[in-house]
Amino acid sequence: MSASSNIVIAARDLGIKYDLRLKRRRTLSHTIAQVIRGDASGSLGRDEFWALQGVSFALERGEVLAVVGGNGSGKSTLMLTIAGVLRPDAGALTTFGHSATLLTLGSGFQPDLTGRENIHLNAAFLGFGPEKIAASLEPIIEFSELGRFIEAPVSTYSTGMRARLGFSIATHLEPQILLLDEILGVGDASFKEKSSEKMDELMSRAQAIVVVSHNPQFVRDIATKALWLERGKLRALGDPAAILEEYAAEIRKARQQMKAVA
Amino acid sequence: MTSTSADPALAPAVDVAEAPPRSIVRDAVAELRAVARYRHLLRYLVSSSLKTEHANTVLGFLWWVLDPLLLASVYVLLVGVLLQRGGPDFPIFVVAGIIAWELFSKGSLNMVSGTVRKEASMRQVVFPKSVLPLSEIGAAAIHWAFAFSVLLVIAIPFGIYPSAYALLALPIVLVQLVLTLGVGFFLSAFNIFFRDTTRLMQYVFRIGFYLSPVLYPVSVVPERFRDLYLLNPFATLIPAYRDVVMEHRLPDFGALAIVAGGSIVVLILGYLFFVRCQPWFAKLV
Repeated sequence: MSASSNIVIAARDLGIKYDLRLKRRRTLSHTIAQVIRGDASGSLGRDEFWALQGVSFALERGEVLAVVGGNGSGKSTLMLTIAGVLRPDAGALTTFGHSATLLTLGSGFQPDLTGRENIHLNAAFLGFGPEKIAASLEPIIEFSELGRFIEAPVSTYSTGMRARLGFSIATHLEPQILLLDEILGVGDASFKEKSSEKMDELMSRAQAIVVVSHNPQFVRDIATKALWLERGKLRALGDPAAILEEYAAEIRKARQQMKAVA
Repeated sequence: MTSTSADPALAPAVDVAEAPPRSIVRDAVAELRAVARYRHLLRYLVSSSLKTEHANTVLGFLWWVLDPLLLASVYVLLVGVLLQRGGPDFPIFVVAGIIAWELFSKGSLNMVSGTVRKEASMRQVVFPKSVLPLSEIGAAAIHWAFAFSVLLVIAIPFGIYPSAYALLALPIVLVQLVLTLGVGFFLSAFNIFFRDTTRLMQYVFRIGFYLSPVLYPVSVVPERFRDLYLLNPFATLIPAYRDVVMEHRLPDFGALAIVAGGSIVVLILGYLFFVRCQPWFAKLV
Protein backbone atom coordinates (compact mmCIF):
# COMPACT_ATOMS: atom_id res chain seq x y z
CA MET A 1 0.00 0.00 0.00
CA SER A 2 2.86 2.35 -0.76
CA ALA A 3 1.97 5.95 -1.47
CA SER A 4 3.75 5.88 -4.82
CA SER A 5 1.50 3.22 -6.28
CA ASN A 6 -1.66 4.12 -8.09
CA ILE A 7 -3.20 0.73 -7.65
CA VAL A 8 -6.88 0.66 -6.77
CA ILE A 9 -7.64 -3.06 -6.89
CA ALA A 10 -5.14 -5.84 -6.41
CA ALA A 11 -5.78 -9.57 -6.29
CA ARG A 12 -3.26 -12.30 -5.67
CA ASP A 13 -4.00 -15.99 -6.16
CA LEU A 14 -7.61 -15.25 -5.43
CA GLY A 15 -9.79 -18.28 -4.85
CA ILE A 16 -13.50 -18.53 -4.07
CA LYS A 17 -14.85 -21.87 -3.10
CA TYR A 18 -18.40 -23.13 -3.01
CA ASP A 19 -19.28 -26.12 -0.94
CA LEU A 20 -21.83 -27.98 -3.01
CA ARG A 21 -23.18 -29.68 0.06
CA LEU A 22 -24.32 -26.30 1.28
CA LYS A 23 -26.55 -25.57 -1.65
CA ARG A 24 -29.22 -22.98 -1.38
CA ARG A 25 -32.64 -23.87 -0.10
CA ARG A 26 -31.57 -27.10 1.36
CA THR A 27 -33.83 -28.73 3.87
CA LEU A 28 -33.29 -30.90 6.90
CA SER A 29 -34.79 -33.99 5.26
CA HIS A 30 -32.25 -33.68 2.46
CA THR A 31 -29.38 -33.61 4.96
CA ILE A 32 -30.78 -36.48 6.97
CA ALA A 33 -31.11 -38.50 3.78
CA GLN A 34 -27.49 -37.68 2.94
CA VAL A 35 -26.32 -38.73 6.37
CA ILE A 36 -28.26 -41.98 6.12
CA ARG A 37 -26.80 -42.71 2.71
CA GLY A 38 -23.39 -41.86 4.11
CA ASP A 39 -22.82 -38.99 1.67
CA ALA A 40 -22.21 -36.30 4.21
CA SER A 41 -19.58 -38.21 6.08
CA GLY A 42 -17.22 -38.15 3.11
CA SER A 43 -14.19 -35.91 2.96
CA LEU A 44 -14.89 -32.21 2.74
CA GLY A 45 -12.86 -31.88 -0.43
CA ARG A 46 -15.19 -34.04 -2.44
CA ASP A 47 -18.00 -31.58 -2.94
CA GLU A 48 -15.93 -28.45 -3.29
CA PHE A 49 -16.15 -26.30 -6.32
CA TRP A 50 -13.75 -23.47 -7.01
CA ALA A 51 -15.67 -20.70 -8.75
CA LEU A 52 -12.40 -18.75 -8.94
CA GLN A 53 -8.91 -20.09 -8.57
CA GLY A 54 -5.48 -18.55 -8.70
CA VAL A 55 -6.65 -15.23 -10.11
CA SER A 56 -4.14 -12.38 -9.86
CA PHE A 57 -4.43 -8.93 -11.34
CA ALA A 58 -4.03 -5.28 -10.49
CA LEU A 59 -5.95 -2.27 -11.64
CA GLU A 60 -4.63 1.26 -11.49
CA ARG A 61 -6.46 4.52 -11.03
CA GLY A 62 -8.45 5.51 -14.11
CA GLU A 63 -8.39 2.07 -15.67
CA VAL A 64 -11.37 0.24 -17.09
CA LEU A 65 -11.20 -3.52 -16.79
CA ALA A 66 -13.37 -5.62 -19.05
CA VAL A 67 -14.07 -9.08 -17.69
CA VAL A 68 -15.10 -11.62 -20.31
CA GLY A 69 -15.84 -15.31 -20.24
CA GLY A 70 -18.63 -17.77 -20.86
CA ASN A 71 -21.43 -18.70 -18.51
CA GLY A 72 -20.17 -20.03 -15.22
CA SER A 73 -16.65 -18.78 -15.80
CA GLY A 74 -16.67 -16.87 -12.53
CA LYS A 75 -17.32 -13.32 -13.77
CA SER A 76 -20.10 -12.60 -11.28
CA THR A 77 -18.17 -14.25 -8.49
CA LEU A 78 -15.23 -11.96 -9.23
CA MET A 79 -17.50 -8.91 -9.14
CA LEU A 80 -19.02 -9.96 -5.84
CA THR A 81 -15.56 -10.47 -4.39
CA ILE A 82 -14.42 -7.00 -5.46
CA ALA A 83 -17.62 -5.61 -3.96
CA GLY A 84 -16.71 -7.34 -0.70
CA VAL A 85 -19.84 -9.50 -0.59
CA LEU A 86 -17.78 -12.69 -0.87
CA ARG A 87 -14.71 -13.28 1.23
CA PRO A 88 -11.71 -14.95 -0.47
CA ASP A 89 -11.23 -18.60 0.49
CA ALA A 90 -7.67 -18.48 -0.84
CA GLY A 91 -5.29 -15.68 -1.71
CA ALA A 92 -6.34 -12.10 -1.19
CA LEU A 93 -8.02 -9.13 -2.80
CA THR A 94 -7.89 -5.54 -1.70
CA THR A 95 -9.44 -2.30 -2.86
CA PHE A 96 -7.30 -0.20 -0.51
CA GLY A 97 -10.27 1.19 1.33
CA HIS A 98 -12.17 2.32 -1.74
CA SER A 99 -15.84 1.51 -1.76
CA ALA A 100 -16.81 -0.78 -4.59
CA THR A 101 -20.48 -1.22 -5.34
CA LEU A 102 -22.20 -3.41 -7.82
CA LEU A 103 -24.65 -1.45 -9.91
CA THR A 104 -27.80 -3.47 -10.08
CA LEU A 105 -31.26 -2.39 -10.92
CA GLY A 106 -33.37 -2.41 -7.81
CA SER A 107 -33.55 -6.09 -7.12
CA GLY A 108 -33.63 -5.24 -3.41
CA PHE A 109 -36.86 -3.23 -3.57
CA GLN A 110 -39.43 -3.65 -0.84
CA PRO A 111 -42.75 -3.76 -2.70
CA ASP A 112 -44.82 -2.42 0.22
CA LEU A 113 -42.71 0.70 0.61
CA THR A 114 -43.01 3.75 -1.60
CA GLY A 115 -40.42 4.70 -4.18
CA ARG A 116 -39.09 7.39 -1.89
CA GLU A 117 -38.81 4.99 1.02
CA ASN A 118 -37.03 2.47 -1.17
CA ILE A 119 -34.46 5.08 -2.19
CA HIS A 120 -33.88 5.71 1.48
CA LEU A 121 -33.60 2.01 2.28
CA ASN A 122 -31.21 1.32 -0.61
CA ALA A 123 -28.95 4.17 0.44
CA ALA A 124 -29.03 3.00 4.05
CA PHE A 125 -27.96 -0.48 2.96
CA LEU A 126 -24.92 1.14 1.35
CA GLY A 127 -24.10 2.61 4.75
CA PHE A 128 -25.11 6.22 4.12
CA GLY A 129 -26.26 8.38 6.99
CA PRO A 130 -29.37 10.55 7.13
CA GLU A 131 -27.71 13.78 5.87
CA LYS A 132 -26.18 12.17 2.80
CA ILE A 133 -29.45 10.39 2.03
CA ALA A 134 -31.52 13.56 2.41
CA ALA A 135 -29.16 15.34 0.03
CA SER A 136 -29.37 12.68 -2.66
CA LEU A 137 -33.13 12.02 -2.50
CA GLU A 138 -34.29 14.89 -4.73
CA PRO A 139 -31.72 14.38 -7.52
CA ILE A 140 -32.61 10.68 -7.63
CA ILE A 141 -36.34 11.36 -7.76
CA GLU A 142 -35.89 13.98 -10.45
CA PHE A 143 -33.68 11.77 -12.58
CA SER A 144 -36.09 8.85 -12.32
CA GLU A 145 -38.92 10.96 -13.85
CA LEU A 146 -41.40 9.17 -11.63
CA GLY A 147 -43.12 12.36 -10.53
CA ARG A 148 -45.89 11.82 -8.02
CA PHE A 149 -45.57 8.04 -8.34
CA ILE A 150 -42.56 8.32 -6.08
CA GLU A 151 -45.06 8.37 -3.18
CA ALA A 152 -46.77 5.17 -4.38
CA PRO A 153 -45.71 1.68 -3.28
CA VAL A 154 -43.16 0.08 -5.61
CA SER A 155 -45.52 -2.89 -6.01
CA THR A 156 -47.68 -0.66 -8.22
CA TYR A 157 -44.81 0.22 -10.58
CA SER A 158 -44.36 -1.10 -14.09
CA THR A 159 -41.14 -2.89 -14.99
CA GLY A 160 -39.91 0.22 -16.76
CA MET A 161 -40.61 2.42 -13.74
CA ARG A 162 -38.76 0.03 -11.48
CA ALA A 163 -35.79 -0.05 -13.84
CA ARG A 164 -35.72 3.75 -13.99
CA LEU A 165 -35.82 4.07 -10.23
CA GLY A 166 -33.18 1.35 -9.82
CA PHE A 167 -30.89 3.02 -12.33
CA SER A 168 -31.31 6.42 -10.70
CA ILE A 169 -30.49 5.07 -7.25
CA ALA A 170 -27.52 3.04 -8.45
CA THR A 171 -25.94 5.89 -10.39
CA HIS A 172 -26.52 8.67 -7.87
CA LEU A 173 -24.87 6.96 -4.94
CA GLU A 174 -21.43 7.25 -6.55
CA PRO A 175 -19.18 4.40 -5.55
CA GLN A 176 -15.44 4.98 -5.90
CA ILE A 177 -15.01 1.76 -7.82
CA LEU A 178 -17.74 1.12 -10.32
CA LEU A 179 -18.77 -2.47 -10.93
CA LEU A 180 -21.04 -2.87 -13.92
CA ASP A 181 -22.89 -5.96 -14.96
CA GLU A 182 -23.91 -5.08 -18.52
CA ILE A 183 -26.25 -2.28 -17.64
CA LEU A 184 -25.65 0.79 -19.64
CA GLY A 185 -29.07 2.11 -20.44
CA VAL A 186 -32.65 1.40 -19.49
CA GLY A 187 -36.12 2.61 -20.36
CA ASP A 188 -37.42 4.25 -23.51
CA ALA A 189 -35.25 5.99 -26.09
CA SER A 190 -35.04 9.33 -24.32
CA PHE A 191 -34.35 7.84 -20.93
CA LYS A 192 -31.79 5.52 -22.50
CA GLU A 193 -29.93 8.49 -23.90
CA LYS A 194 -30.05 10.28 -20.58
CA SER A 195 -28.90 7.20 -18.74
CA SER A 196 -25.93 6.59 -20.99
CA GLU A 197 -24.93 10.22 -20.50
CA LYS A 198 -25.17 9.69 -16.76
CA MET A 199 -23.10 6.54 -17.15
CA ASP A 200 -20.35 8.47 -18.98
CA GLU A 201 -20.33 11.09 -16.26
CA LEU A 202 -20.08 8.44 -13.58
CA MET A 203 -17.29 6.65 -15.38
CA SER A 204 -15.30 9.82 -15.73
CA ARG A 205 -15.46 10.36 -11.99
CA ALA A 206 -14.85 6.82 -10.75
CA GLN A 207 -11.44 5.73 -9.48
CA ALA A 208 -11.65 2.56 -11.54
CA ILE A 209 -14.26 0.59 -13.40
CA VAL A 210 -14.84 -3.10 -13.86
CA VAL A 211 -17.31 -4.13 -16.56
CA VAL A 212 -18.57 -7.63 -17.06
CA SER A 213 -19.79 -8.45 -20.52
CA HIS A 214 -20.73 -11.34 -22.74
CA ASN A 215 -20.35 -9.03 -25.66
CA PRO A 216 -16.75 -8.15 -26.55
CA GLN A 217 -17.68 -5.39 -29.01
CA PHE A 218 -19.60 -3.69 -26.30
CA VAL A 219 -16.65 -3.08 -24.02
CA ARG A 220 -13.87 -2.72 -26.60
CA ASP A 221 -14.24 1.06 -26.78
CA ILE A 222 -13.91 1.74 -23.09
CA ALA A 223 -11.64 -0.98 -21.73
CA THR A 224 -7.99 -0.27 -20.96
CA LYS A 225 -7.37 -3.80 -19.82
CA ALA A 226 -9.13 -7.11 -20.27
CA LEU A 227 -9.40 -10.19 -18.13
CA TRP A 228 -10.60 -13.47 -19.60
CA LEU A 229 -11.91 -16.07 -17.23
CA GLU A 230 -12.39 -19.68 -18.13
CA ARG A 231 -13.89 -22.08 -15.62
CA GLY A 232 -12.76 -19.91 -12.74
CA LYS A 233 -9.18 -19.55 -13.92
CA LEU A 234 -7.36 -16.72 -15.59
CA ARG A 235 -7.08 -17.49 -19.26
CA ALA A 236 -5.65 -14.14 -20.31
CA LEU A 237 -4.96 -10.72 -18.87
CA GLY A 238 -3.71 -7.61 -20.57
CA ASP A 239 -4.23 -5.65 -23.78
CA PRO A 240 -8.00 -5.44 -24.38
CA ALA A 241 -7.86 -5.31 -28.18
CA ALA A 242 -5.96 -8.58 -28.48
CA ILE A 243 -7.83 -10.43 -25.76
CA LEU A 244 -11.28 -9.30 -26.81
CA GLU A 245 -10.46 -10.19 -30.40
CA GLU A 246 -9.33 -13.65 -29.38
CA TYR A 247 -12.39 -14.11 -27.20
CA ALA A 248 -14.71 -13.00 -30.01
CA ALA A 249 -12.99 -15.43 -32.37
CA GLU A 250 -13.56 -18.24 -29.93
CA ILE A 251 -17.24 -17.40 -29.58
CA ARG A 252 -17.58 -17.44 -33.38
CA LYS A 253 -15.82 -20.78 -33.55
CA ALA A 254 -18.06 -22.26 -30.89
CA ARG A 255 -21.14 -21.01 -32.74
CA GLN A 256 -19.99 -22.54 -36.00
CA GLN A 257 -19.41 -25.85 -34.28
CA MET A 258 -22.89 -25.68 -32.83
CA LYS A 259 -24.29 -25.04 -36.29
CA ALA A 260 -22.26 -27.85 -37.77
CA VAL A 261 -23.65 -30.24 -35.21
CA ALA A 262 -27.18 -29.07 -35.87
CA MET B 1 -3.30 -17.18 -30.26
CA THR B 2 -2.27 -18.89 -27.08
CA SER B 3 -1.79 -16.12 -24.58
CA THR B 4 -2.94 -18.50 -21.91
CA SER B 5 -0.78 -17.41 -19.03
CA ALA B 6 -1.03 -14.07 -17.31
CA ASP B 7 1.64 -11.52 -18.09
CA PRO B 8 3.74 -11.24 -14.94
CA ALA B 9 4.10 -7.51 -15.53
CA LEU B 10 0.37 -7.16 -15.03
CA ALA B 11 0.32 -8.99 -11.74
CA PRO B 12 -0.02 -6.85 -8.62
CA ALA B 13 3.11 -4.84 -8.02
CA VAL B 14 2.07 -4.26 -4.45
CA ASP B 15 1.98 -6.76 -1.70
CA VAL B 16 -1.58 -7.91 -1.22
CA ALA B 17 -1.78 -8.77 2.40
CA GLU B 18 -3.42 -12.03 3.22
CA ALA B 19 -6.26 -11.59 5.68
CA PRO B 20 -5.06 -12.19 9.24
CA PRO B 21 -6.05 -15.55 10.73
CA ARG B 22 -9.68 -15.35 11.64
CA SER B 23 -10.70 -15.12 15.22
CA ILE B 24 -14.31 -15.42 16.15
CA VAL B 25 -14.05 -12.84 18.90
CA ARG B 26 -12.33 -10.32 16.64
CA ASP B 27 -15.02 -10.91 14.00
CA ALA B 28 -17.76 -10.39 16.58
CA VAL B 29 -16.25 -7.10 17.76
CA ALA B 30 -15.80 -5.93 14.16
CA GLU B 31 -19.43 -6.81 13.45
CA LEU B 32 -20.64 -4.80 16.44
CA ARG B 33 -18.59 -1.79 15.31
CA ALA B 34 -20.10 -2.11 11.84
CA VAL B 35 -23.59 -2.22 13.34
CA ALA B 36 -22.83 1.05 15.10
CA ARG B 37 -21.78 2.56 11.75
CA TYR B 38 -24.97 1.27 10.12
CA ARG B 39 -27.27 2.50 12.89
CA HIS B 40 -29.20 4.58 10.43
CA LEU B 41 -30.04 1.45 8.42
CA LEU B 42 -31.08 -0.25 11.64
CA ARG B 43 -33.42 2.60 12.53
CA TYR B 44 -34.87 2.72 9.05
CA LEU B 45 -35.49 -1.03 8.95
CA VAL B 46 -37.32 -0.86 12.29
CA SER B 47 -39.58 1.92 11.11
CA SER B 48 -40.26 0.37 7.72
CA SER B 49 -41.02 -2.97 9.32
CA LEU B 50 -43.55 -1.30 11.64
CA LYS B 51 -45.01 0.61 8.72
CA THR B 52 -45.47 -2.28 6.32
CA GLU B 53 -46.81 -4.71 8.90
CA HIS B 54 -50.39 -3.50 8.75
CA ALA B 55 -50.01 -1.53 5.52
CA ASN B 56 -52.84 -3.26 3.69
CA THR B 57 -55.31 -3.67 6.53
CA VAL B 58 -58.37 -1.53 7.13
CA LEU B 59 -57.76 -1.13 10.85
CA GLY B 60 -54.02 -0.49 10.46
CA PHE B 61 -52.34 0.46 13.70
CA LEU B 62 -55.44 -0.47 15.68
CA TRP B 63 -54.25 -4.06 15.32
CA TRP B 64 -51.55 -3.24 17.83
CA VAL B 65 -54.26 -3.03 20.47
CA LEU B 66 -56.52 -5.67 18.98
CA ASP B 67 -53.93 -8.41 18.58
CA PRO B 68 -53.21 -9.02 22.28
CA LEU B 69 -56.85 -8.39 23.25
CA LEU B 70 -58.36 -10.81 20.75
CA LEU B 71 -55.78 -13.44 21.51
CA ALA B 72 -56.53 -13.09 25.22
CA SER B 73 -60.29 -13.30 24.61
CA VAL B 74 -59.83 -16.65 22.90
CA TYR B 75 -58.14 -18.06 25.98
CA VAL B 76 -60.49 -16.34 28.41
CA LEU B 77 -63.35 -17.97 26.53
CA LEU B 78 -61.64 -21.34 26.54
CA VAL B 79 -60.31 -21.43 30.10
CA GLY B 80 -62.57 -19.03 31.96
CA VAL B 81 -65.91 -19.75 30.36
CA LEU B 82 -65.76 -23.28 28.96
CA LEU B 83 -63.49 -24.88 31.56
CA GLN B 84 -64.80 -22.68 34.39
CA ARG B 85 -61.31 -22.03 35.69
CA GLY B 86 -59.42 -18.85 36.60
CA GLY B 87 -60.45 -16.05 38.95
CA PRO B 88 -62.21 -12.74 38.30
CA ASP B 89 -59.04 -11.02 37.06
CA PHE B 90 -58.19 -13.96 34.82
CA PRO B 91 -58.32 -11.81 31.62
CA ILE B 92 -55.55 -9.56 32.98
CA PHE B 93 -53.63 -12.59 34.14
CA VAL B 94 -53.77 -14.02 30.62
CA VAL B 95 -52.93 -10.79 28.80
CA ALA B 96 -49.91 -10.23 31.02
CA GLY B 97 -48.67 -13.71 30.13
CA ILE B 98 -49.49 -13.53 26.45
CA ILE B 99 -47.74 -10.27 25.65
CA ALA B 100 -44.60 -11.55 27.35
CA TRP B 101 -44.76 -14.82 25.45
CA GLU B 102 -45.47 -13.07 22.15
CA LEU B 103 -42.42 -10.86 22.54
CA PHE B 104 -40.33 -14.01 22.70
CA SER B 105 -42.06 -16.19 20.13
CA LYS B 106 -42.97 -13.56 17.55
CA GLY B 107 -39.77 -11.65 18.20
CA SER B 108 -37.46 -14.57 17.51
CA LEU B 109 -39.62 -15.87 14.65
CA ASN B 110 -39.50 -12.45 12.99
CA MET B 111 -35.75 -12.30 13.48
CA VAL B 112 -35.42 -15.56 11.59
CA SER B 113 -37.81 -14.80 8.74
CA GLY B 114 -36.75 -11.16 8.49
CA THR B 115 -33.13 -12.18 7.97
CA VAL B 116 -33.81 -14.66 5.21
CA ARG B 117 -36.24 -12.29 3.51
CA LYS B 118 -33.43 -9.82 2.78
CA GLU B 119 -31.47 -12.36 0.77
CA ALA B 120 -31.36 -10.15 -2.32
CA SER B 121 -29.62 -7.43 -0.36
CA MET B 122 -27.22 -9.87 1.28
CA ARG B 123 -26.16 -11.12 -2.13
CA GLN B 124 -25.39 -7.64 -3.45
CA VAL B 125 -24.30 -5.22 -0.79
CA VAL B 126 -21.84 -5.42 2.04
CA PHE B 127 -23.40 -4.57 5.37
CA PRO B 128 -23.34 -6.09 8.85
CA LYS B 129 -25.91 -8.85 8.58
CA SER B 130 -26.81 -8.70 12.25
CA VAL B 131 -28.62 -5.44 11.48
CA LEU B 132 -31.42 -7.57 10.01
CA PRO B 133 -32.35 -9.64 13.10
CA LEU B 134 -31.67 -6.63 15.32
CA SER B 135 -34.18 -4.52 13.44
CA GLU B 136 -36.84 -7.19 13.90
CA ILE B 137 -36.30 -7.38 17.63
CA GLY B 138 -36.43 -3.58 17.75
CA ALA B 139 -39.86 -3.66 16.15
CA ALA B 140 -40.99 -6.43 18.50
CA ALA B 141 -39.84 -4.42 21.54
CA ILE B 142 -41.86 -1.42 20.40
CA HIS B 143 -44.86 -3.69 19.98
CA TRP B 144 -44.37 -4.99 23.48
CA ALA B 145 -44.18 -1.50 24.97
CA PHE B 146 -47.45 -0.67 23.29
CA ALA B 147 -49.18 -3.86 24.39
CA PHE B 148 -47.88 -3.40 27.93
CA SER B 149 -49.41 0.06 28.11
CA VAL B 150 -52.70 -1.41 26.90
CA LEU B 151 -52.45 -3.99 29.67
CA LEU B 152 -52.06 -1.29 32.32
CA VAL B 153 -55.15 0.48 31.00
CA ILE B 154 -57.43 -2.52 30.68
CA ALA B 155 -56.46 -3.63 34.20
CA ILE B 156 -58.17 -0.57 35.67
CA PRO B 157 -61.77 -1.83 35.21
CA PHE B 158 -60.65 -4.94 37.11
CA GLY B 159 -59.68 -2.81 40.08
CA ILE B 160 -55.96 -3.09 39.35
CA TYR B 161 -54.45 0.37 39.22
CA PRO B 162 -50.99 1.06 37.78
CA SER B 163 -48.33 1.56 40.45
CA ALA B 164 -44.65 2.43 40.53
CA TYR B 165 -43.98 -1.30 40.59
CA ALA B 166 -44.93 -1.41 36.91
CA LEU B 167 -41.63 0.34 36.16
CA LEU B 168 -39.89 -2.84 37.26
CA ALA B 169 -41.22 -4.40 34.05
CA LEU B 170 -38.32 -2.63 32.30
CA PRO B 171 -35.52 -4.72 33.84
CA ILE B 172 -37.68 -7.82 33.38
CA VAL B 173 -38.24 -7.12 29.71
CA LEU B 174 -34.55 -6.34 29.31
CA VAL B 175 -33.66 -9.83 30.54
CA GLN B 176 -36.25 -11.26 28.19
CA LEU B 177 -34.87 -9.31 25.24
CA VAL B 178 -31.37 -10.62 25.91
CA LEU B 179 -32.72 -14.18 25.91
CA THR B 180 -34.81 -13.60 22.78
CA LEU B 181 -31.86 -12.04 20.94
CA GLY B 182 -29.63 -15.00 21.75
CA VAL B 183 -32.18 -17.56 20.58
CA GLY B 184 -33.09 -15.43 17.56
CA PHE B 185 -29.49 -14.90 16.42
CA PHE B 186 -28.75 -18.60 16.65
CA LEU B 187 -31.87 -19.64 14.75
CA SER B 188 -31.53 -16.86 12.14
CA ALA B 189 -28.14 -18.24 11.11
CA PHE B 190 -29.32 -21.83 11.33
CA ASN B 191 -32.29 -21.06 9.11
CA ILE B 192 -30.04 -19.82 6.30
CA PHE B 193 -28.70 -23.37 6.04
CA PHE B 194 -31.91 -25.21 6.87
CA ARG B 195 -35.04 -23.49 5.72
CA ASP B 196 -37.28 -25.80 7.73
CA THR B 197 -36.31 -23.94 10.87
CA THR B 198 -39.20 -21.47 10.89
CA ARG B 199 -41.77 -24.22 10.44
CA LEU B 200 -40.26 -26.29 13.18
CA MET B 201 -40.05 -23.26 15.48
CA GLN B 202 -43.81 -22.77 15.31
CA TYR B 203 -44.40 -26.19 16.81
CA VAL B 204 -41.65 -25.95 19.37
CA PHE B 205 -43.03 -22.58 20.46
CA ARG B 206 -46.49 -24.04 20.76
CA ILE B 207 -45.17 -26.63 23.18
CA GLY B 208 -43.22 -23.91 24.96
CA PHE B 209 -46.41 -21.90 25.30
CA TYR B 210 -48.14 -24.68 27.22
CA LEU B 211 -45.02 -25.41 29.25
CA SER B 212 -44.93 -21.78 30.38
CA PRO B 213 -47.28 -20.27 32.96
CA VAL B 214 -49.27 -18.21 30.44
CA LEU B 215 -52.71 -19.68 31.06
CA TYR B 216 -52.12 -21.00 34.58
CA PRO B 217 -50.06 -20.06 37.66
CA VAL B 218 -46.85 -21.94 38.50
CA SER B 219 -48.60 -23.23 41.65
CA VAL B 220 -50.70 -25.70 39.64
CA VAL B 221 -47.57 -27.56 38.52
CA PRO B 222 -47.25 -30.71 40.69
CA GLU B 223 -44.56 -30.43 43.36
CA ARG B 224 -42.41 -33.26 42.00
CA PHE B 225 -42.10 -31.60 38.57
CA ARG B 226 -41.59 -28.13 40.02
CA ASP B 227 -37.77 -28.04 39.90
CA LEU B 228 -37.76 -29.29 36.34
CA TYR B 229 -40.48 -26.83 35.41
CA LEU B 230 -38.52 -23.90 36.81
CA LEU B 231 -35.72 -24.59 34.34
CA ASN B 232 -37.96 -22.83 31.82
CA PRO B 233 -36.94 -19.15 32.04
CA PHE B 234 -40.54 -18.14 31.41
CA ALA B 235 -41.56 -19.82 34.66
CA THR B 236 -39.63 -16.94 36.23
CA LEU B 237 -40.24 -14.14 33.74
CA ILE B 238 -44.01 -14.34 33.35
CA PRO B 239 -44.82 -14.45 37.11
CA ALA B 240 -42.40 -11.52 37.53
CA TYR B 241 -44.50 -9.39 35.17
CA ARG B 242 -47.63 -10.36 37.09
CA ASP B 243 -45.99 -9.50 40.40
CA VAL B 244 -45.24 -5.95 39.32
CA VAL B 245 -48.49 -5.31 37.43
CA MET B 246 -51.17 -7.17 39.36
CA GLU B 247 -49.78 -7.81 42.84
CA HIS B 248 -47.84 -4.56 43.27
CA ARG B 249 -44.92 -6.36 44.80
CA LEU B 250 -41.27 -6.99 44.04
CA PRO B 251 -40.51 -9.92 41.71
CA ASP B 252 -38.21 -12.75 42.75
CA PHE B 253 -34.93 -10.97 42.04
CA GLY B 254 -32.83 -14.01 42.91
CA ALA B 255 -34.51 -16.15 40.27
CA LEU B 256 -34.42 -13.25 37.79
CA ALA B 257 -30.68 -12.86 38.31
CA ILE B 258 -30.15 -16.52 37.45
CA VAL B 259 -32.30 -16.17 34.31
CA ALA B 260 -30.39 -12.99 33.41
CA GLY B 261 -27.04 -14.78 33.75
CA GLY B 262 -28.25 -17.67 31.59
CA SER B 263 -29.70 -15.28 29.02
CA ILE B 264 -26.39 -13.44 28.68
CA VAL B 265 -24.63 -16.74 28.02
CA VAL B 266 -27.28 -17.63 25.42
CA LEU B 267 -26.85 -14.24 23.75
CA ILE B 268 -23.07 -14.50 23.57
CA LEU B 269 -23.20 -18.02 22.13
CA GLY B 270 -26.02 -17.19 19.73
CA TYR B 271 -24.27 -14.08 18.48
CA LEU B 272 -20.93 -15.81 18.02
CA PHE B 273 -22.68 -18.54 16.03
CA PHE B 274 -24.34 -15.91 13.85
CA VAL B 275 -21.04 -14.10 13.24
CA ARG B 276 -19.28 -17.38 12.49
CA CYS B 277 -21.86 -18.34 9.86
CA GLN B 278 -22.19 -14.90 8.33
CA PRO B 279 -19.51 -15.22 5.58
CA TRP B 280 -21.52 -18.07 4.06
CA PHE B 281 -24.79 -16.19 3.85
CA ALA B 282 -24.02 -14.53 0.51
CA LYS B 283 -23.13 -17.89 -1.00
CA LEU B 284 -26.25 -19.65 0.22
CA VAL B 285 -29.18 -17.31 0.05
